[in-house]
Amino acid sequence: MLRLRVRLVPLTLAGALALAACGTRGGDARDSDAAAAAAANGFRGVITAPPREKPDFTLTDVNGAPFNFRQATAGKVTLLFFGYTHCPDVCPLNVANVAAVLRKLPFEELEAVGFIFVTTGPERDAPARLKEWLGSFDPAFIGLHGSVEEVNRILYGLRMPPIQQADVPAGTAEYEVGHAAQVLAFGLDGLSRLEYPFGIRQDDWAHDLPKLARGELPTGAPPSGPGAVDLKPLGERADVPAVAIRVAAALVPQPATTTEGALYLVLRNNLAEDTLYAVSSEAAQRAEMHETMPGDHKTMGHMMPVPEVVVRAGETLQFVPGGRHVMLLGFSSRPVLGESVPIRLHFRRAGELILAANVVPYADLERLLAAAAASLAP
Amino acid sequence: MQFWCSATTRAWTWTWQAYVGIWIFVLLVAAGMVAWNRVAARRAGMASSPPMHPLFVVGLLVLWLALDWPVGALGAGYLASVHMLQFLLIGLVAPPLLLRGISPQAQALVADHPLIQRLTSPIFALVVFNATVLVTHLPAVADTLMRSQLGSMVIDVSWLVTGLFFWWPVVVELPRRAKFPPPLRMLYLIGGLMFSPVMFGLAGFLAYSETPMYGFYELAPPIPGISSRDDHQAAGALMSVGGATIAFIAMSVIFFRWSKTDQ
Repeated sequence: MLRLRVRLVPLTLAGALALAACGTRGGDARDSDAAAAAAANGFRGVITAPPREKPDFTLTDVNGAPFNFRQATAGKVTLLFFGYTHCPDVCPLNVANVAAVLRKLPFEELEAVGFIFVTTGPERDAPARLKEWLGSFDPAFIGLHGSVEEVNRILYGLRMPPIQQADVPAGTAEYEVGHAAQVLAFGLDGLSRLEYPFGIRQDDWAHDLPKLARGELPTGAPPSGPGAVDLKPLGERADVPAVAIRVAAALVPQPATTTEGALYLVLRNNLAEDTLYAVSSEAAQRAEMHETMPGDHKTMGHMMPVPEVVVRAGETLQFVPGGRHVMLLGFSSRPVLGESVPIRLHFRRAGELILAANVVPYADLERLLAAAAASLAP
Repeated sequence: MQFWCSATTRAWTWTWQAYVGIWIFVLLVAAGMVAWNRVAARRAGMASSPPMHPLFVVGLLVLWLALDWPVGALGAGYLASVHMLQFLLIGLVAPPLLLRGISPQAQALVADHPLIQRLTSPIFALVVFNATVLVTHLPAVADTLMRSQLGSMVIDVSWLVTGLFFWWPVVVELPRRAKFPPPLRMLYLIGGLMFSPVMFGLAGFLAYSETPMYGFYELAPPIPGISSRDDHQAAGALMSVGGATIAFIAMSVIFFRWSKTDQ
């Protein structure tokens, strides 16, 4: 049958937040190689490594009753999303798209899937409001309410960015709340191996949800590609397990000007918890760690400075487009393809790590980062 | 301030936005027509060009309405159904009205030019118009072009230009049009518009596709109360019903004029 539809599947967390936050839409920054690589795993969601365990937390549901997430969703495919009901774009789209696809699933598969929405705007999202809003998409969706601190603890445990909220003058009804844009999918085994960034389409949900409901797990080779693992900490052998921080990729997409550029990283902490507290480069006047936050009805999204990033033992840390990244400001000369940019990562415990970040075409970025992340998967 | 309506990640608001390029474009169309008629009148030895046909002004207003805020902005960034309304207005409603603004002298000035004869020959015009409709509505093309102001402008202008070609054989009265009498014109509209396989095919895909056809609109900041599925279905309905209605109205005009002439 003639298929007019062209999939524009966002396949990285990068894409996810980029779409929500950077003014592009529909995954236009995605790279078909990355799409093909992820599709090779049998799913259209983004594979997360290592898998996340289903968190054990209790919040209040829309009826005011305590809801233990792990117990209440045991044995079900569970889609977990953090958002708020006043969100103008990402939240209603994600929820509506999941609802639209669930409506078409056969009863057995529908029964096997649950959708949990944890509000990141508890001040305005009273249980009644949450119930009404979620009910407008699907009355079976479960809304959970907790304090910002409680929700941030859950987010921290899931290795997701915390709720970001600017100071709001008293009496302001409309204001933005920054939050992660992806939906986490926990399989029947209670592990989340997949996440669905903003930009995932109904077609993609319709492809993946029945498979998840049947208990299928991502299979096949993880994304890989040439040149992914091309950077190692200088002076250290990256393949020696004793190396505290193993850097699988440090990439700078070729900037258009000398004004600014971005640095993306994939690294793994093999030893004890450490903190990346600064990044510097001889090639740029300043280097700042940022987190891209989704926009709202008034703004196109924005970047929040991140003072430091904790990397727990065994954790893979990814600085990706649209998510966490390093801004390099004021290059002494414009980096060009094939060159490398000296980078210094400053860790509290591991000390200073000196890297040479490759300058690559933007189109190759996601594929290289995905491959680098896959190379670090246990 | 933007040049042309295109996609945005901002949620829709009823706050007016200025699109300078659209104003310039509409003014250029008006100025171009006035200049063309003036030159033609001068070459024909007339002291002044005839007054502009009122339907031309209506056509210009329709064009402006379709391109500018709010219709243009909603269609370019939020709703496939409004995008389809834009298509109907730009490609099917505005062109015949704008063509009425061409004075007989202005028509005569270009009518014998081989390029104009080729571009406005019925079969060529019908094929080019339908091919443009098809290509500009392919998800891969629309999803790509609608993201940029330039791409969005290319789509809008291509509808207008090929719409002018399409309607020229129907609207413009030239002596050599005797080869294309009213019954053939009506058949032309039936085949090229009312029962155009392209229009019907696209409308069918839009209305009956399992999931939204255009990722661009599926992932647009939502308009409360309108799901992307409903929006796509409305777009499909609008394309088939709207196209057929416009063809029916045009055929009625042709028929009554024809019967009047015969009498």
